[in-house]
Amino acid sequence: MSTALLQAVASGIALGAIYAGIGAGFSLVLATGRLTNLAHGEFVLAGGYVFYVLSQGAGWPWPAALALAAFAGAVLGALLPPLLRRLPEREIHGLALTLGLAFVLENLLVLAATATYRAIPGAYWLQTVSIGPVVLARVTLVAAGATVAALAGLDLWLRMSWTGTGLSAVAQSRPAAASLGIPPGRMEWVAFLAGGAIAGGAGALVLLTRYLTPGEGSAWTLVALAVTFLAGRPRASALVTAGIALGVAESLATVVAGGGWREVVASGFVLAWLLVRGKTVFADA
Amino acid sequence: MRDLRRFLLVWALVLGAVAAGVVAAPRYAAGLTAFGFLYTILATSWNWTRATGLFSFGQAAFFGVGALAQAWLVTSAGVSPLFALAAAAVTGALAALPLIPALRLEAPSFALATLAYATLLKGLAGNVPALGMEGFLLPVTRGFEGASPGVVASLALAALASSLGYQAYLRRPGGRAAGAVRQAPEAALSLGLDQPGERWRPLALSAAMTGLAGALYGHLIGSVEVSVVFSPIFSVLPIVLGMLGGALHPLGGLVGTLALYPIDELLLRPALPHTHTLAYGLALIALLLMRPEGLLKAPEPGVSAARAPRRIAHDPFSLKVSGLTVRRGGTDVVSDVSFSVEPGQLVRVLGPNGAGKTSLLLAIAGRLPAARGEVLFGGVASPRRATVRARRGLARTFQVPRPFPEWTVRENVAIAAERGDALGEVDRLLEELELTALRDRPAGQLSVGEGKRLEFARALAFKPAVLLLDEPTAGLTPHAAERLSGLIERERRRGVGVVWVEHGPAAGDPSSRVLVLETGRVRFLGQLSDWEAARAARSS
Repeated sequence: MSTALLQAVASGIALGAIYAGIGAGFSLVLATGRLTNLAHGEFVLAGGYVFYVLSQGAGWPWPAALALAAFAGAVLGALLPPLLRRLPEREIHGLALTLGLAFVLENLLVLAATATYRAIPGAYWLQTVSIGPVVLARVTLVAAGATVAALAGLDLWLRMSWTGTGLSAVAQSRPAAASLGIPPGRMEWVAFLAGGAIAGGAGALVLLTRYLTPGEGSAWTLVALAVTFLAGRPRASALVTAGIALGVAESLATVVAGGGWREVVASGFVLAWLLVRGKTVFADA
Repeated sequence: MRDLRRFLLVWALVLGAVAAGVVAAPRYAAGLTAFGFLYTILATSWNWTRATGLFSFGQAAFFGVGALAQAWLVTSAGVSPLFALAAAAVTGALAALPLIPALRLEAPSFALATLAYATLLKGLAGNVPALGMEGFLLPVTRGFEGASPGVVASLALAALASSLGYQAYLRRPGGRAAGAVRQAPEAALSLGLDQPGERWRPLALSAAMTGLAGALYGHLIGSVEVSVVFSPIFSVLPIVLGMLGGALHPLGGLVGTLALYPIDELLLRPALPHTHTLAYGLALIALLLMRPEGLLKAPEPGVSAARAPRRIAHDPFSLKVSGLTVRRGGTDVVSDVSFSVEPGQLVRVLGPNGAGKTSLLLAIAGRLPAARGEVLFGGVASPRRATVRARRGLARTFQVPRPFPEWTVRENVAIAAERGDALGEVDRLLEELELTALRDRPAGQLSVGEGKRLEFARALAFKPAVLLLDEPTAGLTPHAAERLSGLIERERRRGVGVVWVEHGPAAGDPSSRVLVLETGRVRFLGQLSDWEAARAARSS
């Protein structure tokens, strides 16, 4: 394998770890919140911009800015349950509603931040390190590692904690969960808050590793969809594997065919998956 | 008729107002009008697919393809704009082809598939050098540049045509079939209507019209760029305007555009030049929360008793089940079951919960595949597709009633009568099932017992050759159950073959035939009196 390809695979793996983080928030909302959130990509962007303003504008340290980015995502997540409650057909109307919300958020981002590309300017963390034949920015390694660690923590929480198992129970059957005294409404709130926070945090990590513009929200939503479909179940191991598969595929497509092919990979995969498999929800969450 | 007159009046008023505006302030009004009609085409075309129960989130795909086709034809191939328009519309329709497999999906999955498709085409088109990665500048053609008379007239004509076409479609059997598929897919299937079959034509037409709109858009603004013509705004606009006006009304697209577009153009664009489309996102959210059905309600499906329907021959045939095995989730729920029903014969299928009775019915109807064995219609193995079997005259009723909820009781029966050539009998059937008092009530509001009677009326209106009944009398009052049994007996005497699944012990004629199932196997097949004698012997 040539060095260029190796390099592409390595970048893809690092990128894929962050994709897994973007997919994690999305799939939590899909499973327990019963919503395909088409504004998820804009939630990611909003987190990224909050991080940008705090770390670049106000000079906050990265961890503090990251926490606020996650908080901003949770606030956006909190918008959804009161809106969804009023929809007659939750699935399809929820899809349309979040499409509208994505549009609103994108325009608000353009108003607030203009369409300019935003990136963290170069410094110690953006310098590259060599790992064998490939080079990656330090910050990319840190971001990818942080995402995987966060996902593992999320997994433990979902499997071990009282609330986490409640989320899984509600995802599988609301009436059965309710009959055991698990309040589906409250679990839904938890899913939307946690899903939003994960999206916001992931946005900060995206900004650290590349750049942001207000128009790319829908591309991130497609990434979230692709990762969720490919993972099949909302588990850290599955999400990371799926994210890496997508990241490597995109990275290779970029190297082999050119930069314009990136969005073709995620959208092509989502379309093919729907045409062949035909279902969007977790069958055995 | 009144609907049609009102429809034409509204269009006459709009066209009159537009003409007056263009005469009074040619420059300004022409541009406004052109975009108004463009959006009307987009919204009305979106509604075409909405009528079949689908939400397209990717109309930008067809819009972009149409615009690119037009731009390439008039610049690189030197075709005249008018000829190119036709080609652009066809190209738009062709762009819908890859979505044909998605027509079987439920609405949310289809919406996601279209969304991904639009992004995919945008990405692909951006990578094809021949399609002008730097965009096309359309040549200046006299009368066909900007908001010139040719372009405005074409847009107006296309808007009127799409709206008129929708009006005609909704009032024809095809439009009613779309409504059936939208409201209750399984019940529609029992009348021989399947989703892909009823959905592909509206989708293709919608894509063609949207492609045409894209082509005209290119002339209107003078250039075509991939990032512009595939922009998500062309997916969102049709949804917002189509839903706002009323997706199931032929004037919905026009009314939605009239309600929102002037506000956008006259107030918002001057104030927020780059972000005015924000309004469409907000409008979509507000619409979903406050009035998801839109401003105009769906008109009645309007089955006219006078119109001669298309004829489907539901001639009697013998139904034979031979060695049928049905597998669900890895276990055989029906194993090696054989029996036959001749015309004018009734077989009661008995057995406890989980015996495989409903699975047997589903396999006969073509809704479950046979792992082994076959189902023969008139001695010939029948194709597996449920629509094919239904069209031979196989009618079914469901354990839990599945009416078309938006339509009235009478319309539910009339829809089936239209397909069974029994339009003259609708009122008599309602009378016989004591539904006359409920005839104008939306079927979604019926109780279970009323729904069961409605389903039976619907099945009879289909003029079946064979009736598959899944616990038809469960939940009925004794009086209603007796009446319904009498009607089943009458159909049998008329030559209809009947398979009657019943959960409890069979009542009725001791000489009737019973098929007793237990864990999917035939426990007994013969006369009811013999089965009861055998049971009595066993329990004593």
